[in-house]
Amino acid sequence: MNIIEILKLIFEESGFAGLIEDPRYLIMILFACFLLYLGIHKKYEPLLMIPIAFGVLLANLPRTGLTDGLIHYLSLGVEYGIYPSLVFLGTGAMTDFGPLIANPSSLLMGAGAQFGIFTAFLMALVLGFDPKVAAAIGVIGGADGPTAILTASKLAMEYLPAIAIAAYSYMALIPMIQPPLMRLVTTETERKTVMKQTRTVTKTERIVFPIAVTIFVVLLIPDTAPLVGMLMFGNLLKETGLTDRLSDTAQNALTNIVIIFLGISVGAKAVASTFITVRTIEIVVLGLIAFSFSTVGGLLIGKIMYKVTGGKVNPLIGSAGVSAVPMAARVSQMEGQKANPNNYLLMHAMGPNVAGVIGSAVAAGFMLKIFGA
Amino acid sequence: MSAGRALIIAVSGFLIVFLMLCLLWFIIVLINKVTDSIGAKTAKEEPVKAETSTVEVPAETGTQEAVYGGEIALYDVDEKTAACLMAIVSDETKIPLNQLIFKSIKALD
Repeated sequence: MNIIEILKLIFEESGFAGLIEDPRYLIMILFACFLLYLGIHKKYEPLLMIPIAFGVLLANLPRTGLTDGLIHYLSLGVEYGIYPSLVFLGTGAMTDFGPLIANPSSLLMGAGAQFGIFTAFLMALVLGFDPKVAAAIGVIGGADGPTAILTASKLAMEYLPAIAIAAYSYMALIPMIQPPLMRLVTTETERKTVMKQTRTVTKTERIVFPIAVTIFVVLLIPDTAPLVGMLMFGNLLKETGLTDRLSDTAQNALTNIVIIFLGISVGAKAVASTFITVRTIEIVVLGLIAFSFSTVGGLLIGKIMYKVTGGKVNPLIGSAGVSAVPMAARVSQMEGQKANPNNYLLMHAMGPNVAGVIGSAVAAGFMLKIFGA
Repeated sequence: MSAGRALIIAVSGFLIVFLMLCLLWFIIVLINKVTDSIGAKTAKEEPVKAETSTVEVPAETGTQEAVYGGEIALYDVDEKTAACLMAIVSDETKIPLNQLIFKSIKALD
């Protein structure tokens, strides 16, 4: 065997030869680099976008065998719905439900902002998607990454990467997607509404809330248990004040570890053969529609509450019901201040914002109940 | 799936989300009422205890006007200074603020 033959053998067994064999891998590598650019340079949800993008990159380097080894085992956490639930545990430990407890009527805006889930579900059916896949696509409208991933992992595994990437991309694009809709749906007078400071929430209420929500919601829709149960458990760890170490672990170490595994696993599902299809583009478009309808749904409920309360509720906080915490609430704050510099809506918007998290978990639980069997 | 069935699923799903969150609204109000009534009961019992156990309090309050900020009695101390003091005590003692209970803060001459 001469040196030329050795070099030829090395090349033939390299990933480069694999790229020549199937150029779709090259497209996926470029796509992974684009996602990395969005995550690193544009700072679009970098904590998840970067692991997902790197997962896409690793899975599309031919002949590594990673998808049968390391990534296969990491992916079990997605397939069994473990990672999204653990992310919810961390989210619960980080979430302050105080604004929601102080102003429980904001739950209605959180419910209204799930409108996009059901609209996108119907549109996906019109486009010919299988009902299970349509349900998973609709959940993108909840603007909640872990919920979208959990639903997709149970109902539409083959579309999981497209759904996850669409969900996180739109969550990152909230400051661009929502403001035009907010200005379109609300009037100048409504946007200028200054809201009164909410009441103080006692520690007892904060402790009882997660326990009561878990009992009632999970008893009524048992399929919400992985999400609502973990969310409320995390919140209880935070609110008791007696389990600071556990709360700290849930908020930081555990969440960070799970996000790494989740991101890599989801990204690695985006292999060229299943990802480069027209269906992926349709999912991305449907995700945007779902997101927009959810925003409008929350705003419309906000407008109704503005009328009913005689102008005491600023409808801009309704758009925060899409649950991307706390980005959507910040957008409400920014738009409110543009209309009236003395407007401080952030804490008021946190109510619908965290209500949206519960609302999207309930909507996902409903979809799993109907289509999961 | 027929269009009618799809529509029924979408509408009923949306309604269930609404009903569930309305139920949570009710639960939150209920929790608030219960904790308020328990708090009111405790508040009724506390003045009786104060009368029997503290004798010097009336003399002090007679000379210094007490300002109540939440559950803490502030004597000649504004809320901003009180907040700073509480943060310092929490930091020095390494006890999180949510585990510390301040009953009163009084300015000394």
